[in-house]
Formats: sequence, C-alpha cells, structure tokens
Amino acid sequence: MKKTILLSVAALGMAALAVSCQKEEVVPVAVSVIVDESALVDVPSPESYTVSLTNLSTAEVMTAETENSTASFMSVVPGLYGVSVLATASDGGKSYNYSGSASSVEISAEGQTIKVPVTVAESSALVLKEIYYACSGDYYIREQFYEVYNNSDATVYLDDLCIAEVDYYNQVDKAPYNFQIENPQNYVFAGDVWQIPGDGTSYPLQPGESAVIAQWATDHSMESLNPGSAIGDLSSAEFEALTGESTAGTTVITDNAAIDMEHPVMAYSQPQWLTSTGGATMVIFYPGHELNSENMIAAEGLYGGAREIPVEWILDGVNAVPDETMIQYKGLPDNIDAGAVWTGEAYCGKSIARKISETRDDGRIIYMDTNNSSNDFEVMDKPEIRRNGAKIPSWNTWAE
Amino acid sequence: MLLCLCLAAGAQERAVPATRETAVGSSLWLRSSNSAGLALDSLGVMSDLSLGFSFEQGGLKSVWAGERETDAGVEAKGVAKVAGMTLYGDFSYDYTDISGARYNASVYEPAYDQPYYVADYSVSGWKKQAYDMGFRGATPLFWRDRAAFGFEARYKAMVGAKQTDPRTETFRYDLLLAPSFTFSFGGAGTFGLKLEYMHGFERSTPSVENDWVTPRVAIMRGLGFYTAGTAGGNLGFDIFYYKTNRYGGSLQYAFSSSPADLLVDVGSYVSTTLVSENPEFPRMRGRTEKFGLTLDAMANLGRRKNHRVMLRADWGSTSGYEYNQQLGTSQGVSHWITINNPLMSTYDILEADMSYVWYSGFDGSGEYDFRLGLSADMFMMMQKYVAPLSRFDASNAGLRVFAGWNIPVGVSGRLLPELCAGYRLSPSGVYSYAGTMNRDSEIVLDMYPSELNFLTADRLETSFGLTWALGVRDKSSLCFSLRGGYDHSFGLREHRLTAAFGVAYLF
Repeated sequence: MKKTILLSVAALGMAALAVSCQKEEVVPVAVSVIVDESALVDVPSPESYTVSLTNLSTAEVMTAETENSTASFMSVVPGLYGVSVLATASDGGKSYNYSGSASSVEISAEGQTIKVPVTVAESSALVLKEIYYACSGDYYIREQFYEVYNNSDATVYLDDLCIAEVDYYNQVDKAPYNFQIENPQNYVFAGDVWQIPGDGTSYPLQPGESAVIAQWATDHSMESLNPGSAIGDLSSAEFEALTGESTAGTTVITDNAAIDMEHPVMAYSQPQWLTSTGGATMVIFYPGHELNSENMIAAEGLYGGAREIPVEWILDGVNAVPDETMIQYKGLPDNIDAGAVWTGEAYCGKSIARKISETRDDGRIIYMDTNNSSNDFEVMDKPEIRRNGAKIPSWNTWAE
Repeated sequence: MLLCLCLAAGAQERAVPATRETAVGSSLWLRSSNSAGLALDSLGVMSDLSLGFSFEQGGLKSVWAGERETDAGVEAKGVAKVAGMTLYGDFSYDYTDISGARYNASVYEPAYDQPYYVADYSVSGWKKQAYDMGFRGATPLFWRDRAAFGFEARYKAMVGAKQTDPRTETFRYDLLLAPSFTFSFGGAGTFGLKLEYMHGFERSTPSVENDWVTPRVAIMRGLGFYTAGTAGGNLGFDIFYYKTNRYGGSLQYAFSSSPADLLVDVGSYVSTTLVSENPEFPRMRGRTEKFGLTLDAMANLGRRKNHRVMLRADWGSTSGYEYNQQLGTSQGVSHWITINNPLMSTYDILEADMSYVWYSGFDGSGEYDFRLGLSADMFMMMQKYVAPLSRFDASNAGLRVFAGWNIPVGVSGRLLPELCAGYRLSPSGVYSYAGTMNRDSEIVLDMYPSELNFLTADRLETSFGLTWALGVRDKSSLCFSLRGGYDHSFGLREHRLTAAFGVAYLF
C-alpha cells in the first residue's frame, strides 16, 4: 500500500518536472539592420544613421547607430517590429534628411538581417512650427491654431498651400481605416483640406517669418467665449479657416481681419474646422492639381470618405497622437515623420512646438527638422504664436 | 436549496463551539477535497448560521489591499443525512468596503501569478460583493460497504466596483465541478480519487466619470514591464476578459487505527487563462498556463485522538505568454492576427502551512478544557521576466504558538478565550528590473519595491479571541465572538490592526 502511495506521489512529481522542462522561454536574438544607400545619387552620405526598432506590441524602442551602414542589436526579443532609419547631413548650404523604414517586420531568428532602403530629401523650407490642437477651458473648441515657418534661406510663397488633418484611425472600432484604394501606403487621407488663396505671389514668407493659421482669428479670452483661454487673442493670425461668417449654436463665428482660407475638400458640410483635441496629425502640402470633394475614398466607419494626398506632395507632417499607446498607429509614413508627439490630454491648454536647432548670426532661428517629431518637438505648457520672435510677414497689416 | 440544506439539519447533542471544532477536526474526509469520503466520516448532522463584521486598518499590507477594509458577511453551512446520503452545503455572502488600495484598475482580486491586468496610479476604494455557494454529496456506502461516489459543485460570483477614476466594474464567477470516488480495501485503508473541472470568467469594464482628466494606466505584463495606456474615451483601455479552464485530479489515502487517523490528499492541476481586450475587436493581452501540485495531510493521533496535526502545501508554476499581434485587414475586415506568443515570464509560488494542536481534557462528547498548539507557514515566490532578465523573489515564514480555553459558564454556557503570538521572518527578497523603458516609473520605483517590502518585512503577529456561547433550547447554542489582531513590523514601522465581531447560531 505504501508503495502505491509512493508511486502516486512520484508520478505527480515526475509530471511536475516534465511540465517544468517543457517550458520554452523566449530567447533574445541578435539582429543587424543594413542601410541600403543605393537610391542616394549625387548627395552626400551622412556619417551614420540612427536606427530604431519599435516593438509594435509593447511600444518599447531600441536604438543604435550604424557603423559601415550596419546597425547591430545584440539582444532583441522576438516579435513584430517597426524599423526606422534616420540621418541628417549638410552640404553646400543645403540640409538633407535621410530616411527609410520597414513596417511590421517579424524578428524571430538569431543573426537575422533586415535591409532598409533610404531615400533623401532636402529639408523643407516650410515647417509646422507650433500646433495647438488641445484647446482649453470648458470643452471650448475654437481656439486651435497651426503656425507655418520659413525655415530656409529663401523666400517662399504661401499661395495654394494646403493644410489638413490626416484621417487614419477609427476611434470607435479602435483600428486604422482601411481605405479602398490601390497602394494606400502611397497616400495619406484627409476629410477636410484648407487652402491658402492667392495668385502665386500674394503671400510671400521671408526666412524667419511665420504665418499663423487660426481656426478662428478672434480674441478667445472674451467673456462670451473662453475667459480662461490658454491662447487668448488670435486676431493677429494671418489666416483663418473660415469661408465667411456663420453661426454655430448660439455663437456667431465672426469673419475677422485674417484672410479667409478656401475649403476645397470637405467630407461633409460643417460650420467650423475642428481638428482632434486629443491629437491631430497634420500635414502641409502644395497640391499637384486642383482639389475637390468628388469621388472621395471610402473607408469603413469614416463618414463622407477622405481625399487621397500623395505622400510626395507633403512638405511637412507631424504625428500628433493622443498618447504613447498610439505610437503603433501613426498616421504618417516614416519618411514624413518617423516619430510621434502628444500632449497627453484634450483641453489641457498645452501645445507642441518645434525645438530650436541653431540661431544664425542675424538672430534668425533654424528649427529642428529631422522628420522625427519625437526628436523635433516638445510639449509646451502654454501655446504661443510666433514663439522665439518669429517675424510677422509684411503683408499682415492687421497685426499690432 | 443550499440554505434549506444548511438549515434542515439538527444536531443530536447540544452544539457548542468546542464540540463543533473537534467534530470538524475529526472529519478528515470533510476536510479533504474528496466528497465521496463524506460517507466515511462520522459527522452526524450539524448546522451553523453566522453573521460577521470585520475591520482591518494599517499600512502593513500588500499594495493591492486597502489601507482600511471592512467586511460584513453572512454564512450558513450544514451537514445532513438524506436517504442514506451525506449532504453538505454552504452559502456565504460578503460585502467588503476597501479604501486606500492601489495599482489595480481591472480585476476583482489581483494575483502574483496573473501578470496581465491594468494598474493605475490613483489611491482608490473598492466595493466588493461575493456570493459563494457549494454543495457536496456522497452516496451511501455500497459494494459491501467498501465504495462510495461523491460530487461537489461550487459556484462563486463576485462583483467589484472601483470608486475613483479610472473606475472599473468587474464581474467574475468560478464554477467548480468535482466527481469523486472512494474505495476501501478492508482494514488497510481507503483510497480516493477526485477529478475536477473549474471554469472561471471575469469581465472588467472600465469607465471615467470626470471627462476633464484622462487617467494614465499601465497595461501590465509582469515584473514592472508594462505598456502605457489611458482610461476613458474612445482611446482608453477597453473591457478586459479573463477566461480560465482548470483541470485537476487528486488521490487520497486514509488510514484509521486506534492510535491514529490519517489522511493524505495529493493532487495536481493544470489551468489556462486567456486574457483579451475589447469584445468587438478582440486583442489578446496575454495567456497564463499553470501547473500546480497540492498536498494535504492530516492526522488525529493518540488513543483519544487529542493530538492533531495538519500539513498543507500548494506549489504552482505559472508561465506568462505575451502576444505579438498584427492588424490584419484582409477582405476589408480588420482583426488581430497572432504572429507569435512567446513565453516571457514565469511565476513559481510555494505556500505551505502546518499546525499541531493538543487538546487537554478531551472527552467523548468532543469538549475539551484547554488546547495548546503551534502553527507555521511559509511563502516562497520566484518571478522571472525572461528578456531582459528581471527578477522578483521573496520568501517568508512564520511561527506561532496559540492557546485556547473552553470554560463552562453555568449549565449550558461556555466561554472560550484564546491567544496567539508569533513572529514572521523573511530570509530573502529581491526585485531587479532590467527593462530599458519605464525605469523611472512609479510601477518600477514604488509598486514593486513596496510589495517586496511587505513580503519581506519581519513582523510580530499577535491575536486574541473571546467567544461566549449560550445554550438555546435543548441542542443549540448562540455564540458571540470578538477577535482582534495586531501585527507590527519594526523594520517598516508599519502595523496592521484587525478586529472582528460575530454572532453564530449552532444547531
């Protein structure tokens, strides 16, 4: 009888041992990322590239610098990763941004190599310098603004410049939109596009000048609006996203001194332009052809569809996401913005502003533009138009 | 029905606390996991109906426990004989009000071996209710009084509500079904076999009342590794589901002789818990697989069976699997596709306790004059996050001595004072986090170190109790009990105070 008991206990013990031995714990692997520079012609090569591996499940990021075009990661947990390659270089007074990416790369094998082709683009003359999308007060939604800055050494004309918030994520289904178009990766999509009018030379922007595009260029700190407004008076803005006076509820949206923009693309009629207060991914671009709202591209869960914007049109874009959990659902391709930035909360009165790269001898500020908003932007406790002394264009006669 | 069963039974002799205590202690099969063995116990019929109120306060606690907890409950249980069958039923309801709990925004009861839950950063209250009902039955002995079948069914439903943002309403139930069998080889002893299946389900629904603030949360993966998230709105974390299936079995052996009654119960089980988020767009958050071994041994020794020994041990080895999932959009339908689900963390936990009690003046009726005993317990946990290698290990052991008296008061009254004092020591404990992200986070810098401090704090443990039993009618007693406890850690300079008041009707 005792033998039986002992045998039973022994059998259970062996079963326990067997189960313990069966555990196959994950084994980190070494991975190499090889930067493919074959597409770089007649441009200087950067000294090195910064390569980032972002675990798409955990949002953990590993970075390494390349040596001889190869970045080595010695201990990578197998999984699904986004790979981005970035570098900057200057030559002959020009700044170049190098970027490459690979999406949803499954890393599973020891010694795995990942080849990432890079392309190069000159730094954009126009950059989004500050974006205030979060708003403040008691769900007050009309004080958003977007500031465009001439970061170059040459005059740029704002005529026809478009600005749009990118539609990419269905917050109800909690999944990216699935746009019904061939090669959707070649586009970004926007339900609303606002455009600066002009005949081509109406609105020059000199180096160091900025233009403020307000949702509504009025004094938002008025008692009838938002007395505690984080931004206050936007009446000096150069442009406002209005096509004329309108009424929203009991509020009369007055047409102010700021130049009214055009609204060539709208998924559906609405009295104001409200971008996401939780996080608005924005792009500026010059359209390659006239835009309209016909034959909008459909996506399940997106009312009215969206206009496709070829990636090559885009001058600058910023992945402003609601919070760090959204880093795996960025709305822009990595060559436009390989990073992401967030204020964390809606109605918090905070803005995102581009960091200073250098200050020239004449006092002109050059802002960081590495196509990575994680590096290029910082969260500001209070929004401010024309921060750091950005100049007002000469044609803005209504700004004090 | 269970309540009826509980209340239907009536004791044949006066039920007083001491006899009830020793009767249950003598019923080795009742204390085992095998219901068929109830047919072999000399239980008679008995019933308890009790109301209780308890209170705890103090900082010597797990981070998940409340700084202050109050509990009100009612419990009924009883054993009855119906048509030769032995039936046992119990029912309890508890309402618990917790304040000052931390780092849990999703589950009714966090556990060391369930790493996939949501933690938040607010100090919060919880209100919880638990309904627990169980039934055990054994057929009459058959086949020359050598065999019996048994069955156990238990259903426990729990609801919890977190009281500050991010709020969570969680509903959980555990359903257990366990058929069993015993067979006696004559005088040599009795063998038992029990099989069990348990299904558990928990649904945690988050919400935010104050839309002005977006609470930050940590979607935990074990040992301080987490994915940052938020609560509320369209982007906050969604409903979490926990679905558990557990299969187990155990063998029993009981031996009875003049100087000793002995029962050994050895079991094992395997369980799998799937953790997913968002019912409309399901995404796996993790999976745990557990293998466990249990040992229960109890013996009543001496010619009068007035020396009682108990040993219980539970070892569980849990593996935590994470899911790497990719959004698939085939045919216009988005859904998560699992690329792989590696084993990322392990949790080995051993809990054991043992006790010895000596009853002085133990007579045939089951009463005694005095009891003196020793009890000891140990807890050992080893947690590991595989890559990057991180560890959370802790162990402690406690030893207590206790004494109790059973003093007749008048004809049918009893006064039962009891005292207990002991000390808990921790030989070791370590928390090391090797992650590259979140090194400065509250989870890594406060939550895990605080829990380690609690688990490894040497402490003095004391308690007292006083029960006053009054004879009611012929065979029943009405008992009023008051209990208190005070634990103190000199190292942490923290304490935990407990107090309880109860009324019980034994019949």
